[in-house]
Amino acid sequence: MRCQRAQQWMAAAVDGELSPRRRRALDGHLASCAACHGELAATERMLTALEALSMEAPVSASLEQATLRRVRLAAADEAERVPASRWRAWLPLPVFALATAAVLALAVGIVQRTGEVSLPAAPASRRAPKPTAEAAAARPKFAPPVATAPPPSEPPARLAEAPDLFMDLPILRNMDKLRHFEAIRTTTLDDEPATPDGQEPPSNG
Amino acid sequence: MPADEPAAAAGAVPAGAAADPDVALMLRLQAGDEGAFQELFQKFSPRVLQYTRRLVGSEARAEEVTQDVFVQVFRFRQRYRPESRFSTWLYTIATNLCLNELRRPERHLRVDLWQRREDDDRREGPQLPDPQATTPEEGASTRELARQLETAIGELPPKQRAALLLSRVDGLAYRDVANALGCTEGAVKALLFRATQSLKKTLRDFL
Amino acid sequence: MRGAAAIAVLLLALAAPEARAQRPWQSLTPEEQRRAWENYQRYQQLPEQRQRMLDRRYQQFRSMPPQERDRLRQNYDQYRGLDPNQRREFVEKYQRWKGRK
Repeated sequence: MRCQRAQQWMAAAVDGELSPRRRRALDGHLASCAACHGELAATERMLTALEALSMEAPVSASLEQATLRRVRLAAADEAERVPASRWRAWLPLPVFALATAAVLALAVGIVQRTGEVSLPAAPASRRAPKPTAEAAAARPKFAPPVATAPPPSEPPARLAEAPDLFMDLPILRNMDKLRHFEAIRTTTLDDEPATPDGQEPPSNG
Repeated sequence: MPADEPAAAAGAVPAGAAADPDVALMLRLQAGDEGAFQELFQKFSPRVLQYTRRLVGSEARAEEVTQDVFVQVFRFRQRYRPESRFSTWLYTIATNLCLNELRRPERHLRVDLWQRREDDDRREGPQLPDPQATTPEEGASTRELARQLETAIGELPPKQRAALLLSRVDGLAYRDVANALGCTEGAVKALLFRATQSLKKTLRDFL
Repeated sequence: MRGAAAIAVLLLALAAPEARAQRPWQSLTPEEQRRAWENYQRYQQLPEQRQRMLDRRYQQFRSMPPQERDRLRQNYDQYRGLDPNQRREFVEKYQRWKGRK
């Protein structure tokens, strides 16, 4: 076994993750290589020191309050965009009252214009029942919440004049990637080993 | 953003996941429970803050990034899938935000949190005796190694630093580190190998 | 003058033989309508600048030859079929590829 291979296995050896066969091979090398023997000891000391570093830092009350403030603003923003939002519980009472008044004013405006009642759905209670696993799993990944009402029979003008734009929107959004798909797939990443997993990574000097 | 991701396969929450308290908190958060968010914050913010401090190398920026992480946890709570551990998802968010932060042009002038200063002994708070040390000298040596190690970690390239912190300090499995970094497990092992070789070289006098 | 402008617009429209005619809303299947409606709502939430960018790309897409449009759709199907790890690796390669252009 060469020293380079022995060094690649040292971290796994310290962690006790080497297979018995590889461990025997490494021990055989260490018995005759003082440099690698010292290197293993240094590896063990370093990994021990790494794992002893503290995982946590104290979080100040101001950091916690600032975070909660931003999250409540985000919740209020969501509630304005999606009236059936469940985030009533997030809003401080005066803000919630204003938001409710705004929604009601809009609803009254709609009624006056159309003569039809079209109030938004009542917000869910604070302790809303948990969504079913199926409903949770069926939501598309990486998509913000949208109203789940079915499409209208009379779509908005913008949608009606270019429905294909909206059907193909994911393609338009990824157009650069899709036009050069094969070239991108064959691009190599410098940090990746040129050889399959388990074999020697490329030497860096 | 448009619905361009494949819809997740329908199915029940995996039995193991359902028993995971962090998964349960996320499910409560998805259902609209503010208390669940506060519990998640209190449980994970100390780890996220420490991770971002080491990765971005600035106390002030680390606090801002930590806020950003939890705001994203809230905003994208519906993207979380209980098949994966919450901590993996959280560290993925934190890593992406930190690496983005490090790519910002003004970061080239970043204050080095780990800059060596003769009178600097504030990295980990008060100096505590090393419980493993048998002599005061040994304890001091261990603390000195820890200080030098923190500095050396800060000098690693960002992805090596992230891989090392996630794997060796925060104890994530290779698979989870790969998810957080958006690369393969093989790439993670290569990053870790290079990182540990660099650290051993830098810390030769202390090991 | 206005009549000449109208004729010019008509001629330009006729001169783009590859531009695909829009399908009317009622001719879409329920699944297509649902997809278009969801994407429309997300589009509405985007900043205006991003909406304009997508509009421009749509015009480019419409003016592509049909084979090219099909090629992009096939590539998109492959892209969608990537698992999360492969997707992230692809995005990382895309960023690397862009940097080398």
